[in-house]
Amino acid sequence: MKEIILKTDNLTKKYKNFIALDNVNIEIRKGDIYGIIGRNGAGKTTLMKIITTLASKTDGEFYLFNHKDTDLKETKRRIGSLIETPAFFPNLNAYDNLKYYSIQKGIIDKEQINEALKLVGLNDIKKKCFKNFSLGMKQRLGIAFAILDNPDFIILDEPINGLDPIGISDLRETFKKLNEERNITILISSHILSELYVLATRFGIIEKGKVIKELSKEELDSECSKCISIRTDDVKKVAIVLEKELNTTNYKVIDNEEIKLYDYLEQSQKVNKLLVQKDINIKQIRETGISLEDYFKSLIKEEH
Amino acid sequence: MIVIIIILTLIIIGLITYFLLLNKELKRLPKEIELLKNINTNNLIHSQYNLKNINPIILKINDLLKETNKIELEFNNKNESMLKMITNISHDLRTPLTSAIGYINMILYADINEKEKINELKIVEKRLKRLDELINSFFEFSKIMSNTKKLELTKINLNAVLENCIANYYEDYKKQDREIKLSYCQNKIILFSNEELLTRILDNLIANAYKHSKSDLHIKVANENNVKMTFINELLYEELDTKRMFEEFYTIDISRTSGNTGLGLAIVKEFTEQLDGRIYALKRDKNLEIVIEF
Repeated sequence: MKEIILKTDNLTKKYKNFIALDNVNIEIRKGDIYGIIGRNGAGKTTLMKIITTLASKTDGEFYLFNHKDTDLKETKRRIGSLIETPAFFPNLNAYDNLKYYSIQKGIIDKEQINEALKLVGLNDIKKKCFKNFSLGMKQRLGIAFAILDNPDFIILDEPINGLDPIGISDLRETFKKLNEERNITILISSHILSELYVLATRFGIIEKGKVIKELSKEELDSECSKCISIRTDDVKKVAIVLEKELNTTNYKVIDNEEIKLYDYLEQSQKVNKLLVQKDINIKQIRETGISLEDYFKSLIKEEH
Repeated sequence: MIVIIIILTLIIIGLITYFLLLNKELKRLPKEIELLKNINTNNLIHSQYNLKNINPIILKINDLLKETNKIELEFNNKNESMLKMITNISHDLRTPLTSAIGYINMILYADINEKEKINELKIVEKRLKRLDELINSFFEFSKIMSNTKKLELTKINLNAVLENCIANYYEDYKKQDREIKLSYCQNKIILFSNEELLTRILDNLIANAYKHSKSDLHIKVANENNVKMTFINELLYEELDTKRMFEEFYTIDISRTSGNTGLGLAIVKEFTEQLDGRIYALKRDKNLEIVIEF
C-alpha cells in the first residue's frame, strides 16, 4: 500500500450556529490527485485552511505524513499551498518576488526559481511588476510559489477559477506534470466536477460540510461510461447468449460475476428479458453512462 | 597605529564569526541529510547561512537527491503500468476463454444435434485462435524488447511499402465507410531502412488509427531534410496523453478500449528507434497527428 499523505478523522469545524465541516473522513495517498468537489460554501476552503493550519479545528483530528495535527513542525516544508494569494511585492516582477522567498527559505539554487516559473509559463514575462499582473498570472505565480521548495504535497483551492479556457488546459497539464514527473501529491478543489474529471485520480464530493461520496477515477468512469453491466453467477452462459441471440462479441468479462456489454445500450430491458428467458440467474443488470454533472447532481439531491 | 589595530580586530572578529558559522552549518548538514533520507521526499537541502564555501557542496548533494528521486519515480511508474497491464491482460484473456468454455458446455450438455455441435465447435476454435493471437502478441513484445540482433538495412521504395500496407486495410476501412487518403510530395522516396520493420511500423499505425478513431485516415509524406510521415485522424479520447501514449502498456481506460493490450504503439516506437527514427504525437484541431521522422 502507498504511503498515506493526509488522513482526517471526524474532522469538524463549527462556527456559532453553523457547521462548516461535519465529521469529515478522507484519506489521500501518495501519488493521488485528489479532487474535492462541492458547491460554493460546501466547506472546501475550510477543510484546506484547517489542514494548512490557517484555521483551527473544533473537533476530530488529522494526520499529515503520519504526524498528528499537534506536531506538524517537520511536515511544514513538505507542503506547498495556494489558498489565498500569498503576499507578493507589487513593485517586483515574478522572478524577484520568488527570489525574496527563496532567500528566506534558504534555497541557494537559483535554477529552482526559473524551473518553477517555467512550469507555470511565467518564465517569459521578465519586466512586468506583480501589480500589473492579470488574475490568471497572479494565480500562476501563486502556484509557482507553492512548488518552489520541492514539496511532496500541494493544496490548491480553486486554482483554475477565473481563467480562460486555454489557461485552464495549460494549468491542468502543469498539474499532471507535477504529479507524474515530480511525484507530487495534489489536493485540488473545484465546484465543477467535469473541470477536474480529466485531472483527478480520486474524487471527494462535499455538500453542507459532509463528504457524501468518495470514489476513484475508475469508479467514476464505470458510473459514467456507456455500457450495460450484468452481474450473474454464470458468466459463461451469459457470454454465449450474447453471442448467439444478440449477435455481438462487443463485451468484456470482468471477473467471475460481471460482464460488461458495449452494444444494445438503452435496451437493457430487452437484454434482461432475454437472459431471464434463458433461465440465467441475473443478480443485477444496469445501464451506466449518465453525464458527469447529472451524476454530481444526483449525489447532492440524495443529500437533501 | 590605532586604526591598524581596529582594522585587524575587525578582520579577526569577522573570521571567527565565519568559522563559527561554518562549523555550525557543517554540524547541521548531516542532520538535515539524515532527516530527508528517512522520509521519501522531494525536499532538498537548504542553506542556513548562505556560505560561499558550503553552497557548492549543498548543490552537489541536491543534484544527487534529485537523481535518486527521479530513478525511484521511474521505477514506480513502470511497476504500476505493469500491474495495470496484468489486469488488462487478464480481462483480455478471460473474455475469449469464457466464451469458449461456454460453447463447450453447450456441446457437452445441451440437447443439440451433430450439425449444430460442429458449428459450435467452429466457434470454440475461433475463440481459442484469438486467445492464441493474444498470447503470441505478449510473447512477441517481450522478444522485441530484448532484441539485440543487428538490423540489415537496404534501399527501400517507401511509396511502394506504404501503398502495400494501405491495401491490406483498404477493405476494413471501406466496410465502415471510411477512407485512407495518401498525399506525397514526390513519386519515389528512397529510404535506407529495413523493410520488414518498416512494414510492421506502418501496418501497426494504420491498424491503430482504424481501431481508435471513427474518421478517415490521412497520411502525408514529406521529404525535405529528412523523410517525415504524418498520420492524421480524428481524436476520439480527449484525455489522451500524447507524451505517454508510446509507453508500453499505456491505455486510457480499461472499460472503453476493448481488445487492446496497450502494446501496439510501444512496439511501433521501439521499431522506429531501432531504425534510428523518431516518433511523436500531437493534438491539433480535434485531430490526432502521429509523426515519424527518419
